[in-house]
Amino acid sequence: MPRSVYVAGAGMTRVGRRSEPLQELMADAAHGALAEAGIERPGMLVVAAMNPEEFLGDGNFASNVATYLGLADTPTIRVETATSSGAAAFYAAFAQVASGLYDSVLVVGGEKMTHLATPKVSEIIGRSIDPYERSYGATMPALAGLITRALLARKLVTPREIAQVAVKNHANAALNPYAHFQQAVTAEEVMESRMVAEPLRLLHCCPISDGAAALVVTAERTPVRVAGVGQGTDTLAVRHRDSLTSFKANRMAARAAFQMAGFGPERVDFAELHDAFAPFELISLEDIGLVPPGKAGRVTLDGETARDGRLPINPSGGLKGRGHPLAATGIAQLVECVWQLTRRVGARQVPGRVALAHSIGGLATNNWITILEAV
Amino acid sequence: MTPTTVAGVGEIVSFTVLHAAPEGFRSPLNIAVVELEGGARFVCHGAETRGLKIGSSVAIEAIDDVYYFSHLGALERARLFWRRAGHAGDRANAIARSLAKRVWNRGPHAS
Repeated sequence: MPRSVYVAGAGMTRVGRRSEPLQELMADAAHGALAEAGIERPGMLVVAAMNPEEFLGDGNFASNVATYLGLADTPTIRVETATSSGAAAFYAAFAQVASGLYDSVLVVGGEKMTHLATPKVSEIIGRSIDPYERSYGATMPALAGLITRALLARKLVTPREIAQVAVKNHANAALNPYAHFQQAVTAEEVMESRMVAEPLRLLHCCPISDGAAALVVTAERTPVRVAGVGQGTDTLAVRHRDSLTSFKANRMAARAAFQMAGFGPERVDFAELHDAFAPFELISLEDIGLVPPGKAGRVTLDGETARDGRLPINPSGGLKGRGHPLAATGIAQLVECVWQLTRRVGARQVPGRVALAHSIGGLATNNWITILEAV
Repeated sequence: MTPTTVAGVGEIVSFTVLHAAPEGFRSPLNIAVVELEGGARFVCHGAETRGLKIGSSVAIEAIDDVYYFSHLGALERARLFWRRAGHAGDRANAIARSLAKRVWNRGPHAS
């Protein structure tokens, strides 16, 4: 029987264009989480970084970060599942504690990429795409464009509903001092921003960001318990999937996470969803079962997912507003959930006892759902 | 250019115009997923997306092992015809090259 696992501390850096080395950003986040937890030396360190080899030219990154943190004599591993690396690293830490191998684990994730030109960044991130699709110039935005076109053609969502995701998440980010974007946008600005991958526009897409986030998980009881973790997977190639308008990896991860939690989506009070592209928030709302099929656009436009709505989605600002420093993101989502559950976020505070975080790896090939509960 | 073969007629599953093409590609880049009769799916490039919809029938052809889609409308058919006629020289060259290659392969390297 696995042990209960709790979150004892959370920390993160401001997300955006940062000049510090990645190791320093990760150390800032880690020290914050360790201080909150009141722990100096965790039993183990789990590092998440998607591609420091190519963004920075650094290898052996787990030991690199451990040494920088002064934890060179602590057991250390690195976890990578493309853009969901942070969530996967959290799972690794959770499993260590649940199994009884360690009583406390520090998990820290980060990425640094704004020092490179955008086409280079998009090419490096694009290497997580199926090689055949990539050989035609398919990038993440291109595949997201194909998916968005299919959503619109099937009239599952409207352009105004998609734009509202960006409007809402920017409004939330404006209240988050850790967020990359600190200003609101209007639906008109979103719908008139320049085309990136038709019908996706610039303000439908998350920015390229630097940043780091960290958590300490323990066997010792704290006010935040890990209720469930689930993983979902799918083929690398997008073209061979049965549906372009729903992600199998989302449905699979949700099923596994809710099964572990022992309750369903109706108990979730607020969520952090992976809105790397605005329509993904709408797809995921339905895939996870947070809203009934066909209703995601409507509830978003009606304000139900706004900060003061029935089911706040992305109170942090999401990937869209807070930013998406790849391997930091899955952990940053959980940091937001922990701080929300313990009432420490000031103006953007939402009520609730059960929080869900959802992270997409690659083009929905390796997705994670983590459910936290205030106890 | 190597021989141009018409792969067939397919249906647009979805398509996008990428305005920020990655290194090695020209922007804007038209990318489509096309399903052939029988269900095989290809990623294709295309010269034109005006009037294109999900479900539109398109022709697919491979040029240098890269698949391209094109419209099947009457006007487009004519354009396709002219484009092919315009490439007649290239095609003749390609056929000649491939014949020469075949002769060469049968020659000194024949087993």
